Amino acid sequence: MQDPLVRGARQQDQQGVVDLYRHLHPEGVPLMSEAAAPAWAALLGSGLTHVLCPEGAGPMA
Amino acid sequence: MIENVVTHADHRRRGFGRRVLQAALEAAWARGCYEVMLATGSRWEATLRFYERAGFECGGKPSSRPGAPECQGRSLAPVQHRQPRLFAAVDPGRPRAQRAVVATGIHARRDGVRRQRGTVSGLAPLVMQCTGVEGGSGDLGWRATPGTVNVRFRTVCNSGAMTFDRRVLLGLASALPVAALPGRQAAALRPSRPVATRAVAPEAPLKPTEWEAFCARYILPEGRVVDTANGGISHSEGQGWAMLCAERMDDRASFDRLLDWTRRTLPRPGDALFAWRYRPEARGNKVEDTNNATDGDLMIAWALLRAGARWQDPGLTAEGKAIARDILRLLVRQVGEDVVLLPGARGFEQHGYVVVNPSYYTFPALPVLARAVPDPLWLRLAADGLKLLRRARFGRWGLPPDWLALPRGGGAPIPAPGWPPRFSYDAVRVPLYLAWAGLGREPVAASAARFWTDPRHPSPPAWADLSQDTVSPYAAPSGVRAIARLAVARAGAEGAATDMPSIADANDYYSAALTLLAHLAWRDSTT
Repeated sequence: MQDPLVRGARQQDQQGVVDLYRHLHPEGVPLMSEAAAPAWAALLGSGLTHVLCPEGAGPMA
Repeated sequence: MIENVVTHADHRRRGFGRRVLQAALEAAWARGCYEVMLATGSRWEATLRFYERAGFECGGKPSSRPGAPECQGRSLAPVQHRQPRLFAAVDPGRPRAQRAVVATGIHARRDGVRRQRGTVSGLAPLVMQCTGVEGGSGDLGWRATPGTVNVRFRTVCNSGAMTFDRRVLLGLASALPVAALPGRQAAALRPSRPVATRAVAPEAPLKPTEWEAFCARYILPEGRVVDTANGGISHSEGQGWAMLCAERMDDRASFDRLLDWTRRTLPRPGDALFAWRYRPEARGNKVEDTNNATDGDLMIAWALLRAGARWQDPGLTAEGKAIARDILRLLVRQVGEDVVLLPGARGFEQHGYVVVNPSYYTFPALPVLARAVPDPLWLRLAADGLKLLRRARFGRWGLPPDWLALPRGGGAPIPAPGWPPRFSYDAVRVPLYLAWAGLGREPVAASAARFWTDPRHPSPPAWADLSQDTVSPYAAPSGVRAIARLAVARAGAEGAATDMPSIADANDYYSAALTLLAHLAWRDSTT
């Protein structure tokens, strides 16, 4: 298998993260993408939290 | 801090996790980190071995729970809740025996050697903070989006721009380590003086005559502290303040009387917190409202934990821990991106905003509570509290209001609707607690010092209206003047404790209590 590309998360990864959250919390309250957008943008822009994503089987979303 | 390593079950054993961990470590080293911690709640031996192969060493606190997996002879406690019990700070400028902190978790060091950048005033700590969202690990049956592994890490304070975090977080961290580490590792990290007794001053922090005067004027024989300016009522905060002073004065008899009255009179059903007020003139039940006041609970817990250590009384320690747990359980909320401290369990969470009292952030107490009840939330509470205080400055002097409203959807805090937009009798404690915690140069504390020394005032005003930029037509009472002296001195000006007002200058309970606290803070922030 080719080594995955590990990169920092981007704004366009939001839907993949929302989907992931849903998988992790299948019984939880569904997250709305539009509501998650500002939180995701703030997270990525904070400079304190870094989210890494590998792309080994296609992009996240 | 690395947490939430998640790989979809269909894509495991293909190197995704290892590769992402490697990338996270490389990124951390590139940013000047010298230690990285990884939090996991996994009980699976295979997961722990995986992290070891990825370069992490096992650390952790001993677990009394059966079934905890062993890792190289040291136990790695399973995490019972979703938040990893892990946070750490390292101050390379201090002796090793006093710096390293490890709670439950795994940590890695680059090349097995602690790294020190030495670029930030000789103190280049990495302070790692749990982001506190979804805890756990990838071996709990979680399903991930195919092909993804998420690793999040968060570093705080690896630059000089965030010194406020560093100081408090280091304080928290230094209070945490010893009890969290097992066996020989704990012994290696144990400070030269036991943490439990480190805070006990070798000599009285208050003049005995000052404490005796306070007891005689404001504490009834049964242990009730009387607010002489408010109809003789009593508050949980006053009980806590007096208990703290009694402990500091090694006055066990007074402490026991205060605690006994508090236990008997102010208990709340269902938790370890205390009702906020006792009103002797009330008909029937004199505790009419069972809501708590968070500052009172923080202060009582702080006093109990100190007292338990001073007098070697595990019962007192257990009581303090119970309160600390319930503070975390009932009084900490996420508002927007930040964790905030509710002023009370009820009544402060409105539809569009949450009301906060900035003076309830008792920063010098937080390290003690964090050591007693290790939890990442303490760290977030302290860091986010300081961040909030930096934003909550209003008017000409940049002062905090007594009560603050935080919009739930984020955005700037505003003085809370329904309360006068004043820097007044509550908010004067903001610079008190900051100075007490060694944070007297924080912007909001320095602003208070400038306000109180503004040459346009013949003497420090009792309050300032933050919307009109006006001040009270009368001077601050002696207790506020004592805080002003402290704040001015800790903001960098000259000053001596001999300039501080005394109990004899106080006209009422509140002023006298603030005077005592300012004396304690003066002492603690110089030793």
